[in-house]
Amino acid sequence: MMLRRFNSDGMASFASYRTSLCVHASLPPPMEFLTDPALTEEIPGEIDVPARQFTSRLEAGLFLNELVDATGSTIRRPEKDKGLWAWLTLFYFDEICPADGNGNRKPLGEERLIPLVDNYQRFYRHLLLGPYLIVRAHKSNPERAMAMLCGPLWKPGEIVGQLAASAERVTNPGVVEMATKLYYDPSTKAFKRGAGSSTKGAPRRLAALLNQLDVNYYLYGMTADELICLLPKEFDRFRS
Amino acid sequence: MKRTFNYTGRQRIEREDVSVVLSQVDGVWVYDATLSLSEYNFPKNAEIWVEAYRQNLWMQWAWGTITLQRSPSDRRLTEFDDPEGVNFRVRVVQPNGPEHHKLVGEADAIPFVKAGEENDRRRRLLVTIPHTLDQQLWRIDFDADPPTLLVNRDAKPSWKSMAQSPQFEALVYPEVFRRMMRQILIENDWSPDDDPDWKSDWMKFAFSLVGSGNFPDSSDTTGREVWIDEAVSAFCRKMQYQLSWNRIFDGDKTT
Repeated sequence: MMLRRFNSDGMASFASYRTSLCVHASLPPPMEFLTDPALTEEIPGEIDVPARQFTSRLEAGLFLNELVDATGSTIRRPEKDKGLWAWLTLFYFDEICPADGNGNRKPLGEERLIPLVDNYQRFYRHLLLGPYLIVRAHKSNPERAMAMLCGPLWKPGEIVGQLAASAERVTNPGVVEMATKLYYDPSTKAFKRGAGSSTKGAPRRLAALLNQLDVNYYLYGMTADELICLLPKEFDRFRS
Repeated sequence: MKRTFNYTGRQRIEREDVSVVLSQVDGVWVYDATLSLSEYNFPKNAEIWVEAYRQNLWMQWAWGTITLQRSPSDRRLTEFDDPEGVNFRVRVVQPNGPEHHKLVGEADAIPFVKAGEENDRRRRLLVTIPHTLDQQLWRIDFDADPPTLLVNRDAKPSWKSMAQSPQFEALVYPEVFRRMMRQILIENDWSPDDDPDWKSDWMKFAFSLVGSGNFPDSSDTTGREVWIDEAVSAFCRKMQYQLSWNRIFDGDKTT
């Protein structure tokens, strides 16, 4: 299907579907919206969007960066294009909000499906825009952000909640790589045990500690290993 | 007694030693900074970084070293749709060697002036920022540092017109003032000995309205609640909100 974006009526219709889905969990996604000329507009360049699956947020982030790059300069600020992200959300709805065995879906928070691009506290929680932005910030080596990209598309994980909200943190290569070294296990390609908890040394503590370290250190200039050396004993369980 | 101590050895860079001017080039906001850092005794090869931030948006630029300042060629504020509420920070960082990456100097919450406007070097008490708020017209963001007044960006005729209208000011500002006072005095347990920051700016303003003679101690929460009430009343008297409201009403009747 050719890439399009929702116009304001399309955004309203998609938001209305999400609201209805909260009440009627088996409501099928309105795929007809995707090509409705009253709800969408063309994006110049005739970019073909393939139907596909994503095994992780990393795979989705890489794909979305390629897709947006393919549009050239026709999308000036992709991170602000809510019509584009909402359209893609519906296009990949089965990946983002999969149905269970009974055909029921759980849309959860509004910000997961509706791109709140002007809401600085919630924009990064969108399930497609989030991985797109993280991969874009670490384009030279997206694997360094595995702690924020290893999960399935519909399950971002605690580390995203703690670090991705702040541009200063999420774009910092040292901080992001440190989170990956602490909480991601490359042998299992999954989070280490305890990485989603709120106990000692967990991501929530890391975020609080970074705010303290930021008072004395210029964190942006530091490598992951230099940062790890500054962490107190409570992080020992994640250091290995 | 002073309640905070600086054990870090980091020097505070004075406000008059940093100035930031914004201008528009082809529709994009670009900043220029003047940094007078030679008198601070920083290591000669200490790195200088300039940061722009608002809420969680953030950009940074390398400005060379103390002896070799280099203005970066690209100083566009591309992350910010609107410069309203953007603050700047200058950080001086220990170079290679012992204590590498440690901050040796900092100037934070530096406001900008637009090219052609006068720089009065004062921190603004309240920064108003357009924000997506659905059906809410305004909200205070206490997570931001300093707290900001968020105004619905979709309000007509424009968010700025609404925020500057006498009706908005009369109805909203007393409540903003009250919430700020509560945040500072009840939630943050402010004391006159605390280091200067946005809270002390607000308190200076409040003291100018009601004086500081009867200011209750932090253990006297009830006393502070009463003091806040008095401060809000004094604020409204100073701004003459009821008279201004009546003037609007009378004006409406005559048109």
